[in-house]
Amino acid sequence: MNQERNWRNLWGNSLYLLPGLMLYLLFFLIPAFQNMIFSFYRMDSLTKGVFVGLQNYQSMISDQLFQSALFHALYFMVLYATIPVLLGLIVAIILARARLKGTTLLRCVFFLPYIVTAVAIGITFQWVYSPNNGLLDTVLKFIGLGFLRKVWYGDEATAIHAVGAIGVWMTFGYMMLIFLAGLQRTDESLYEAAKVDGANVWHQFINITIPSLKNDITIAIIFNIINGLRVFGLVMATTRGGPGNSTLVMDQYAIQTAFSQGDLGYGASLTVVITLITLIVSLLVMWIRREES
Amino acid sequence: MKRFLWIILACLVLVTPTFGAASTKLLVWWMPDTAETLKAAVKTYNEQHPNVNITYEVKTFDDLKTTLRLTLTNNEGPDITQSNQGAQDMGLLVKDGSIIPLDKYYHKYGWNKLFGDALIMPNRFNKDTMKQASGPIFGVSESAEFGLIFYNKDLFAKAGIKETPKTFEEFEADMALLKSKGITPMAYGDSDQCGRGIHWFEILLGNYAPQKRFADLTFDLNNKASYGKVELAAAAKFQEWCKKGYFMDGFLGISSNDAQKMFCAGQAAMYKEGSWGTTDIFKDSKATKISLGMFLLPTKYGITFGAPGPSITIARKCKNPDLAADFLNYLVNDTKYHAQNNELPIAKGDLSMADPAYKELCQLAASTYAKNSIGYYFDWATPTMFNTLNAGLQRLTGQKITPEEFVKMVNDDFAKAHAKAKQ
Repeated sequence: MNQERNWRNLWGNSLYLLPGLMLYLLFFLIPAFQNMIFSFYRMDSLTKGVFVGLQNYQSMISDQLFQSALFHALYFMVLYATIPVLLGLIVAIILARARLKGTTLLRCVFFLPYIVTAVAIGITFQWVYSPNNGLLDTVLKFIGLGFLRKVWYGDEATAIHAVGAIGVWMTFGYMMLIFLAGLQRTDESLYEAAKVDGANVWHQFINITIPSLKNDITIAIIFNIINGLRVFGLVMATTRGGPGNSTLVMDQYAIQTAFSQGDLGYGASLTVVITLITLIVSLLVMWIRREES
Repeated sequence: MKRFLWIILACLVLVTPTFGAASTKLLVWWMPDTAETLKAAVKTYNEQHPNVNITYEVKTFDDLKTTLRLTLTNNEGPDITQSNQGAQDMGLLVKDGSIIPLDKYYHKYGWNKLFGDALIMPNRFNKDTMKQASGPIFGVSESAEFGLIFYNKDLFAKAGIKETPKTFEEFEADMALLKSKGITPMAYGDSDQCGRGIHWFEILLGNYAPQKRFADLTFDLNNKASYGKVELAAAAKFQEWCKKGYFMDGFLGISSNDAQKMFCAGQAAMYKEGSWGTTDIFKDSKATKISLGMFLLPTKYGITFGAPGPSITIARKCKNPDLAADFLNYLVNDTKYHAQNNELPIAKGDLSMADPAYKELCQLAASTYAKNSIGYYFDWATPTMFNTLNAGLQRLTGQKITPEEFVKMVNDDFAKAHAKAKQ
C-alpha cells in the first residue's frame, strides 16, 4: 500500500519536472549529442557532410592554432582557479571577521564586476589599457613608474596577462560570495576556543577556516575553472584573439572555425574537446577533494 | 449593364501599366548602411509607378547571413535582396538555385558598359566550381568602395608640405618630413583585427603589382595562388614604415575606431580608410574644426583595396523579375539619393545635392573605376585567410616575424585550401 502510494507520488512529482526536462532535452542534450555526431563528419555549409571518423580529432594534433588556443585555455584555467579564489577567500575573511563599517556596500562593490557583461567591461578596459594616455599608463607615470608602461593589448608578451587581470577582477567577487556563505556556517565558538588556547590569526586560518571551507573551496575552484574556459566574450571585447593569435582561446577558435570559416565538423570537434576538458578537470578536482577527506 | 461592366473592365486592362498581369509588389531586404538611399529611391520609384508597390525591410549583415538562405529555400522572404559576395554568402544562394542570373539585364540596361570588369567580377559565381569571379553574373552593385588617404591640411602646411604627393617616393619623403617635425604621419589602429592591416598591405602592394595580380590572389580561380617576390616587397615596406615610426605609437593597442577619432582630433597628419568612412570622418572633423583633404596613395600601379558594394540579387521566387530588374536599374543609375546620403554610386550622374567633399570623393572614385584599379580584399581568398592575414600582419608590424615568415604563413594557408579543394 505504501509502495503503491510512493509510486503514485513519484509519477505525480515527475510531471512537475517534465517541462524543465523537455527544455533541457531540446535545447541542450539533443544539440550536444548532434554536435558530437557532427564532429565525426567533414561538414561545411556548402556540401553534404562526409563521415571521416576521428580525422577532425587527428587534425588537431598538427594544428598550431589549436595548440595555441589549448595552451591559452590552460593558462586561463590555472589563473582563474588560483588568484581570484585566493583573493576572494582573503576578502571574504576580512569582511566576515574584521567587523568593518560598510561591509554590505563593499560586498556589493566587489560582486558587481561579476554581473556586468564582459563586453561592457572589455570596452571600459580599452580605455584603461590604452597606449594613448590610458588610465593605467597615466597612473604609472604619476607614481614614477613610467618605465613600466607598455602597449598592453598590442604586445604579445603582455596581452594575455592584461586580459587575465580583467578576468581576475571580474570573478573574485563571486568567489568572495561563496566563501562568505561558507564562513557564515562556521561555528564562531571554534575561533573563541582557539584564541583561548593561544592560536594567532594565522593558526586560526589554517586550522579552522580552511578545513571548514574545504567544500566551498572545491566548488569555487570548479566554478572558476569553468569561467576560465568561457572567456570568449572578454577576449572578443578586448584583443579579439590578437595580437598575432597570442590570446586566441578555444571557444573563440571553435566559433571562428565553424561559422566564419564554414568548417562545421572541425568546429564541432573543438567544442567536444572543450567539454571533455571541463569534465575531466572538474572530476579531477572532486576526486582530489574526496581523497583528502 | 453587362455591356457597361465589360467597358469598365476593358478600360482597366488598358490603363494597367507595362508590368501588366504580373505581380507589382516587391519586397526588398537591405542592410542598414545605405538604407537611407534605398528609402528615398523606393519612395520616388513608387511615386513614378503608381501601380507598383515596393516595400523594404532593413536587415543587418548578421541577420542576412543567418536567415536569408533558409528563407529563400522555403520560397519566402524578399524578391530583391542584398547579399555579400563570396562562397559563404552569395555562393550558397547560387548553389541552392535561390537567385537568378542577371546576364540578360546587364545587356538590356547596359550595365556591362557601366561597370568595368573589376567591378563585375565579384558578382559572378560558378555553381560547379563554387568559385567567385567566374560563371554567370548573379548580382549588381549600386555602390562601390575603395581605399584612399585623408589628410589634415593644417598639419601638412605646418610641416611645409604644399601639395599632396604625386609619387610613392614623394609620399615616403612627406612621411619622413612629418615625423621629423614631430607630427605623427599616419593614424593607424589594429588591435581589433578588423582588416585595416590587410588594407594597408594591399595598398602598398599597388606599388609592386598590377590589378591582375590582385584578382589572381583574391579569387584563385585555378587553385594555384601563392605570395611571391612582390608580396614580400610590400610586406617588407610595411614593416619598414612601422619600424621608422610612421604609424602612431602603440598602434597594435589602439582600435581602428579610436585611430579614426584620433585623426579627426588632429593627432596625426593622415589616415587611410575606405570610402565608407568618409561621412563619419568629415562629420567628426567638422566638430573638431579640422580642414580635411583626400588623395589616392600614389603607387606605381595605382591599385587600391576596394570592391563593388554588396551584391543586389533577384530571388527565384520573385513573380516579376523584369520589374525587379527595372528597379535595380533605377537604383544603379540614380545618383541623386546617393549624393544626398554621401554614399558612393558606381554610375556618374547628378551630384547637385552633394557637399563639396563628397563631389571630390566621387571624382577620385571615377578615376579609380576608369583605370580598373580596384584590388578587392585579399581575405576573400580562402575561408581562413582573414584570420591568417590579420594575425600575420599584426606579428609583422609588431616586428615579431620577418616578411619571409609572413609570406610563408599565407602560403601555408593557400596550400591547405588547395589540398582541401582537391578532396
